[in-house]
Amino acid sequence: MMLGVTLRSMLGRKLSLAMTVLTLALSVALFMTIERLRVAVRDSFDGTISGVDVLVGARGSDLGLLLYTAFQIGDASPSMRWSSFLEVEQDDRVGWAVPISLGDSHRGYRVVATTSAYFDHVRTGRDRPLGFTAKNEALLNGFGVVLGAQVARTLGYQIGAAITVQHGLASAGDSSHKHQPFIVTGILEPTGTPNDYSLFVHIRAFEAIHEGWNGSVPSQGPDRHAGAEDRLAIDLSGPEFEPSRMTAVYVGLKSKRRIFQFIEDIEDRSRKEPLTGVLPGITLSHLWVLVGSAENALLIFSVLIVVVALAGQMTLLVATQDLRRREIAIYRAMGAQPMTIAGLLVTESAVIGVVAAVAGVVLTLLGTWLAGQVLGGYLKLDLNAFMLTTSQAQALVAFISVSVLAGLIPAVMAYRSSLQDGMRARF
Amino acid sequence: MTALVEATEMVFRRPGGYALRIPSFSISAGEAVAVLGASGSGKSTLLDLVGGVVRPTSGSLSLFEQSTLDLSYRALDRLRGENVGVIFQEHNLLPFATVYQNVALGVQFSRVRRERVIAPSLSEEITRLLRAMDLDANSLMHRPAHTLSVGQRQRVAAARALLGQPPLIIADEPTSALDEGNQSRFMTLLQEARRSSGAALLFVTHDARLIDGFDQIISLDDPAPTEREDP
Ligand SMILES: Nc1ncnc2c1ncn2[C@@H]1O[C@H](COP(=O)(O)OP(=O)(O)OP(=O)(O)O)[C@@H](O)[C@H]1O
Ligand SMILES: [Mg+2]
Repeated sequence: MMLGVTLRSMLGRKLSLAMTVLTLALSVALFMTIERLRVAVRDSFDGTISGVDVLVGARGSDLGLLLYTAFQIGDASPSMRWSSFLEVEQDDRVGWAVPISLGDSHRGYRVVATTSAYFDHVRTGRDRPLGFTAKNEALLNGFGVVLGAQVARTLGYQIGAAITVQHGLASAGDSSHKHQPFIVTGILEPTGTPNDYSLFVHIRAFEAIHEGWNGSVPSQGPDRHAGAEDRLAIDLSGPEFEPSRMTAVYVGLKSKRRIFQFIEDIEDRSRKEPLTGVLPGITLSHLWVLVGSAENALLIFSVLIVVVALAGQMTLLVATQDLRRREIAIYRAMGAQPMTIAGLLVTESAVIGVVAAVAGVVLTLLGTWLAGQVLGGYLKLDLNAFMLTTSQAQALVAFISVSVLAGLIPAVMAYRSSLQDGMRARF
Repeated sequence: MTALVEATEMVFRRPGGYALRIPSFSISAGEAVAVLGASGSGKSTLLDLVGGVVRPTSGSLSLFEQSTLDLSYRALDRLRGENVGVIFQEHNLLPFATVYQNVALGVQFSRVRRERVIAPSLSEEITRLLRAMDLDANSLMHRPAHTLSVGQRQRVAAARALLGQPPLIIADEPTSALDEGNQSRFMTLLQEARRSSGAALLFVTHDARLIDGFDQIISLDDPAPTEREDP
């Protein structure tokens, strides 16, 4: 019954309360969306190549190599020699090595030239292997191409479709390998990582189309007019399709204990080609330190906005306090203890806080969904809109608590004035 | 008969220098007591004392057979909730709440008083009391209080004061905003209803025409019970 009365009392002040709730909700949503994006960016980065122990590339910056190879960010890295890959692959300590060659694209999506071993060894998220939503046995045989989930979805490709790749990342232009179509042989499950936005072809097929494109060995090149089946059956094992250069190698070690020794050897200046060995986790944590202060500034700003909104709630409650002295005098006349009245006001703040939090969550989901639409493709994020992170849930609980605390101030005021007023409101 | 309220040599001083003195005063069960006095003579202050909102500065006051000296403010609040129905001069009702909610408020802060509701259900009892105050319960019950006329509001407040059978009803000039016809109608209805429930009435007014039918009349203008002190 008192809840009913409180609700009616609030309904009577619906405009000012609605404004307050809206302000609170927007501030909460802003904070939570920023937090969600932050967590999503980190999860996505940290989870992109979680099964890879060492990333090996040409001599250069660790971060640059990692960002370019795994995240498609930044300028092309200088290439490394194929012979260096073979050396790495044959190293005793190496359990597996997957070559990566980058540079081509298909309608704005990056083409990753690699081997089928990529699907066996690269993990995403918390060590989750790559899975297929659809595939046929050919995979990267011949001119097979495997699509990331997002590529397949946006472009509407299915198994068996023939697609051509293009030189460079430009989405228009004539520098395409038109006469060397690839046949879709597999579609990956969504991972929330750049894999979703990539196409995978065999590094030898990649070499083959570049040879053709160079025009140097057209007659020896595979038959350009073969049908889909035939294109998957094309034999590319010949030495003429062995690439000479490539971008990087993903390496899995037999024993992680020898990881630093391995990197030292890789980076040895006396090698034929000195290379760079990158520990993805450690290099990323350097990145987080770099961006951390900017992130913190953003978070502090959004927390401040929440604080301002809470101050607004408090102002409203305090400002309307005088108008409510009659209401309080009535409760007192009915025998209500000053504490009970304080409790009623705190309850009211709690209701405001909870409603604002719920509205904030709804706005956050909306905001996240929008951010996913606008930024998802650009940042290669998997923004699962209908999900709250733990940090968001904690923030919500903190927000509701502070909102209740904000209600304590008018409650204490009411407590005092009700002791003074007794049954009669004096003004 | 036991006295619901009993005061001897009661003095109440306000910080500003005002003092209310009542040498001897008592209200028995079922008795109707009128308090007369000019504005500022301390009528409302007396109701504050009887309601247990303030305690006398000196002398003794016992409410429902308990000395206010022995009671905490918390206990006094509880005593009021249980035993006293209150009607103000105005602003009796929560304007945003329905008539039903406003009346039900009478038993909201005291379990004892809620358990004294006699009819099978709270809403039936509220209906009965609204009818006793000559209000059309069916059509009014769920209307917000701010849509009522002043006369209706005062009668709703009376119904609330009667809810849960409190042994004492205190009313602070409840008719002063009403016209003459409405005043006597309100008095008649209130007297009838409180008589049938057996409640005593402490009724404050500065209008001597309203004191017909009261068992005891206290005049605060009388220099005997009150006097003014200059600080
Ligand atoms: N909270 C207060 N603080 C200080 N003085 C007060 C307070 N309440 C009342 N008084 C003073 O106490 C005296 C008695 O006031 P009270 O309200 O009891 O008079 P009243 O007889 O009810 O008058 P009225 O007929 O105008 O309602 C007045 O002089 C008033 O100014
Ligand atoms: Mg008065």
